[in-house]
Amino acid sequence: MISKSIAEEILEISLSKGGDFSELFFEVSNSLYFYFDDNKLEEAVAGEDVGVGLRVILGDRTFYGYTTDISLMGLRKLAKNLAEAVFQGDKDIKVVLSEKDEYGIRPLKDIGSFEIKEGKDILKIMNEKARGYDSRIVQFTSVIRTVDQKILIANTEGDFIEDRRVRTAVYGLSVGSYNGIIQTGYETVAGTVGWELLTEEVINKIPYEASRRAILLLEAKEAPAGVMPVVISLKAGGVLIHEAVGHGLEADLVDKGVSVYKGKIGEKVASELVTMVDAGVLEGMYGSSAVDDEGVKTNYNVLIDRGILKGYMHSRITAKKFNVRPSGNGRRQNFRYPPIPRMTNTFILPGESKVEDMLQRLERGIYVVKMGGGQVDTTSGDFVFGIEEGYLVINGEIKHPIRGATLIGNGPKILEKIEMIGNDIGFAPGTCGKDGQGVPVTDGMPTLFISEITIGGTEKGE
Amino acid sequence: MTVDLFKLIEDLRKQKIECEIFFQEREKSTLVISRQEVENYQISREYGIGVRVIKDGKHGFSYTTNLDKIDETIQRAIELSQVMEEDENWKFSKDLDLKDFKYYPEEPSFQEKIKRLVELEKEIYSKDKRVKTVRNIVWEKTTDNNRIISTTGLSLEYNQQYQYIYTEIGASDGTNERSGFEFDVARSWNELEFDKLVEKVVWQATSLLGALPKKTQSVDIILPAERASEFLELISELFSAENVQKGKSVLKGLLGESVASPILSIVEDPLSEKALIPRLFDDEGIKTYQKYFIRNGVLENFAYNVYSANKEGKNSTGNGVRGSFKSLPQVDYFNLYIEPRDKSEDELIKSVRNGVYVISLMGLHLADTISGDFSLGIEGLWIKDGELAEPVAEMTISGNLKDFLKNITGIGNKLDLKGNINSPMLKLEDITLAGK
Repeated sequence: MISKSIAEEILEISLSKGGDFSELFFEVSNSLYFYFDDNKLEEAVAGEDVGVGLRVILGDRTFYGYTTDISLMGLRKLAKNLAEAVFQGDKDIKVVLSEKDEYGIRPLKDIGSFEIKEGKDILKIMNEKARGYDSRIVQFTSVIRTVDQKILIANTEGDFIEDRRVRTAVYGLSVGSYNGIIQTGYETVAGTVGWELLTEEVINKIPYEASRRAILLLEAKEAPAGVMPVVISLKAGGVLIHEAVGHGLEADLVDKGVSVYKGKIGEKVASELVTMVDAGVLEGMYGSSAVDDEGVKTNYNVLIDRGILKGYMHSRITAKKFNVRPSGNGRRQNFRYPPIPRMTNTFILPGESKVEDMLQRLERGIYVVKMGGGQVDTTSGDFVFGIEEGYLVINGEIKHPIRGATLIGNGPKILEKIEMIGNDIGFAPGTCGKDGQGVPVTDGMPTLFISEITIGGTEKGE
Repeated sequence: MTVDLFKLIEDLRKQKIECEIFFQEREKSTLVISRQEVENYQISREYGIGVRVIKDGKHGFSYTTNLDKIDETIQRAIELSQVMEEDENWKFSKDLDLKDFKYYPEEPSFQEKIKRLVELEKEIYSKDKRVKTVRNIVWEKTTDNNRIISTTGLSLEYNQQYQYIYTEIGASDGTNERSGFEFDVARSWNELEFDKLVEKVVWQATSLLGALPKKTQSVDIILPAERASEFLELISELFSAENVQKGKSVLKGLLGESVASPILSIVEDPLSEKALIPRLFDDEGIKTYQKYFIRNGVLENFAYNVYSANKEGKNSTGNGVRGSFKSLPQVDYFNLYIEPRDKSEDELIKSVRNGVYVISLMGLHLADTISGDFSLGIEGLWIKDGELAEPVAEMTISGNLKDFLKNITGIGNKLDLKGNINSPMLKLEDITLAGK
């Protein structure tokens, strides 16, 4: 890691031609990646990504640069180049950093202690389980990835912070084929933990769920097309809340006027049943860390309280513009990118309804048991999300599985149509993309009853 | 670099370890304009090394950004190779010395670029009163210098440059708000079409104002070039031999058969001078050439890298692509497109009695290219008796890529080689549209 005196020198150079704030972000990321496909381990990759991102903020302007040359000479050059770009005239700046604050998790099993062969063996076992589930499973693809990210943040406000995030993810995809039809099923488990994520339970669950879904979809019928009520299971993950409202509460989008939730603080934006939280502070979840990528401590932020909008998610820059405290949501994919407001672990709090009562209310509707990914247009609020596992329900009775459907709705309208919230909650990890940067997140929801949403199926006519 | 590379290679040769090293030098500049100012200014340069080894018939891979750690990285790749099974399909090309240097015109200064981009923001606002916000204008240029050398006598060197510009805007009519998103990509600054970008993005956002869903029905669809190109990107996955061999393509086993509308031809033309990134050889040193994947509806070829070709005892088709030093050669394409036909865009629209002109697609990354199933959110304009009419939104189109290929009944006569994958306007019939 970079010493205090070097960090001070680099910050001083970067502000030597002007600027209000400067920040150095140093990262050492070691990753291990296993890719198993076609009955064998196809890739085992160890990688090291080391670099420094430096930014100078002057008014509303950001000057950003990064380098993989982390020698003192390389860092000085980077800082000098930025200062030349700022060029407001010579300034004499003295930077004094405080004593180092150290955060970070200590995984039970980190990369260094992991036997490469163990990874291969786990993937082999999963492969056998996935293929053994049903003779119609023709392919199984699985991945284990672990990233050990050590970061150091130093800024001209004197912060000098070190954090370590160890994240592990395991993924399985089963391909089922029968009578000329191909269908897939996948399952993933991920967290801010080391290899200890790979418990026997996880090693069993991934291939079982992936193959079960692939076979279920082979036997599924076309999804209906049109507006219907839906019940979304706690097991489905929280993509709906991530897309329908989460992105629209990121303060950079609000500031630029491309969010349907701009200017709505204190107003009712959802059914009074809805309380929504973004919390990067929760231990072990995929979107968690002790501090964000600007060195701000993560938090438990209530964004919507019983239907009323309370606040947005902020980076340092947006917090200053909105005259609030940074909320711990300034995140970046790695040292190559400046931080922007991002979600961490985003979820709706449980309510009081029972699943059976919600299903009973479906005269003709869809029961969504697993959601896929999603996307949103924050300006209009329109969003989509995929169904990985869903069933047609008639008069409260589950009829048959459906396939090939995306749901589409409008965020503010759908939030008003959440009429019942279950007394349960489930979470699912994912990778969220914004402005070309991917960051790990978790989304969560209790079981929900939504009175109307458009099902994008293929079934023609009634 | 403190390491003597040639000595390193010589040492490995003596140990009977085959090794290939991929060096990437990347320079990136970015400008983000907002509220008539530079909001973000960025210039960076980075290095990366990807090392592949074959020892005892086993293949290993490791990468680093630290040029001083090349020795360690090779050792790590060797270590990793030993958990792999023996696999004779991994091979490095032998005794090849190929260079592909492209020359790019000199770029205007940053100051000039900033001036033009600030002007562009003004133009967007002044084009239509209903434009309420420009989130930002982003310009980014990437220049790569790549070099690949191996103990098997491979020496490849090439450069490439591309730049893009995009903008996201919001329009409002007082009651409804809609967004527009448009991008342009080119090799050099002077090839970027700024005026067209302004026109398109403003047209998109303003013409969608007041959009409402229609009732669920079966309709014809017009996909303008940009949206059709997005579909071709999904379809390109179906030609990958990697996917076919693993049962992950709905085109498996259909070589030589009619799989698409007879008017459809999909071709890869890596040598075209008009291509965004023309390439003489791929990242495994295989010479590229023009080839049809689908010609007049018939499936003619799959795309191979060296590994997938060896699996079938075939030759690579020159489709081994390394996205960066962090990845292995995977099947991908250089300048893939749908061949234009005879209909003008106007004629295609005129031929639709009841349908949708698609302005934006949502959820493309949710499409399952293995099963072929897709279900996408759309926004666009209703087409009534050949005329563009009221805007529509909050609807989906769904189907399977296999049927998509067959449902193409019209192909436009205008093809711009904008990105790496391109299509003229397409017309499709009998697509399920889900709405209210």
